[in-house]
Amino acid sequence: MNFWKALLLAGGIFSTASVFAEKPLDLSRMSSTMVFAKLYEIGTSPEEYKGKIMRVEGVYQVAKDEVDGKNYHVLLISDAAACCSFSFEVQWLPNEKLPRKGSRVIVEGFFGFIYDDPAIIPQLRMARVVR
Amino acid sequence: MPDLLETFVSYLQYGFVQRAFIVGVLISLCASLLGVMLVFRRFSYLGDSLSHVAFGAMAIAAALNFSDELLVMLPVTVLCAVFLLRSGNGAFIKGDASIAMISVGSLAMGYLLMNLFSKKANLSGDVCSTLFGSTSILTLSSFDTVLCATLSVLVILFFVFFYHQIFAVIFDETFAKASGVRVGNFNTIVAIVIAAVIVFAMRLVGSLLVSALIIFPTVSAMRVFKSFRGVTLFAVLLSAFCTTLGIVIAILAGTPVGSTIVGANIVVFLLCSVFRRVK
Repeated sequence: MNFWKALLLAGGIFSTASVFAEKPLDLSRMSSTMVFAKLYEIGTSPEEYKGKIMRVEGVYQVAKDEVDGKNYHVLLISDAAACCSFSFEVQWLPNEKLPRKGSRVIVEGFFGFIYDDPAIIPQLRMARVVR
Repeated sequence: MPDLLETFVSYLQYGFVQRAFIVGVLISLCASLLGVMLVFRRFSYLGDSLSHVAFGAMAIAAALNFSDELLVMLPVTVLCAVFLLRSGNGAFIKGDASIAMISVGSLAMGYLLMNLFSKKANLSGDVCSTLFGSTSILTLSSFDTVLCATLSVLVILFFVFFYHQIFAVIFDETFAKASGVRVGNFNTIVAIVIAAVIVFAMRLVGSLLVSALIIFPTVSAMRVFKSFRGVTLFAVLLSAFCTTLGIVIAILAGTPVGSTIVGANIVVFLLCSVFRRVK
């Protein structure tokens, strides 16, 4: 098997199954009230969750940054009263089939964040669509 | 049902859920005790008015970039509470009118200030969350919990140690004065306690729904019991029960916590009313 076939196979395995033994933090099974509260906790203590696999349900959107012109993939999660929302920047796996904009999806990925003083921008890295 | 129970037990493992239950029950206990004092003195709407004042004070704190909004909210709310409770027959504007004016004025000015000076991205969301207490109770820190617990203990001790004075002032202020109770000072202390409980209760049910925590348990208890002691004890039990039930339903069903707690209070009130009719 040559190098490129091996790489594709590894990517295929990676994109179709969670190969890590660690159980994902599954927020998709929680009520909207609990999800928002948990996300608030994650937002206030992001270091504790860095690198953990998370599974989150939300509405997928693509937002264009007016400054740099880049498209950012975002997962929006609203609370029970729909008056507050939490968003993840989603960084998809290389060959991942992207969902339709505005659709409700469950996404699994590694939690990460970048600082955007004074807040943080939470991210789901190496993300894939679960449902 | 077993699935629901399993889900609830799994939720209980989270610290923020445990803190929500602890603070929720303690705040509702305090609110119900205050409710007994306010409802019997025909000051039921005072809680609502003070919560609007607290909202306005929070807007001022945000506009002035205070790191901790409590530094403005508590003193302003206390001052208004003292003014409203101590303004007697000689007041320029009589009781209910002054409550109404302060209430709507604070709410309107608070929202105006937030629109003019707020730097937050989701202003509507913040205002909605503050007014209706969607998930605020589930976002408490350990420090918030300790603060609420301390306040609650102080309020309960105040009610226990000054029970007879409270009873006298509520039902016959003139007699209480004649018996040597310093009614003026007593009203000031009550005002401070009410203001503090209102400010913390806003985290539980939001600014617009605080009155429910104060009024409903007392009125429900009055459907069942006739004595002051009976009403007080039953109001405390009802309040704790409705808050616990409201939080449980909210986290399982994904409903806003504040509204669900008020909903539980309404149902209990209706049941108590039915009980009174049947009796």
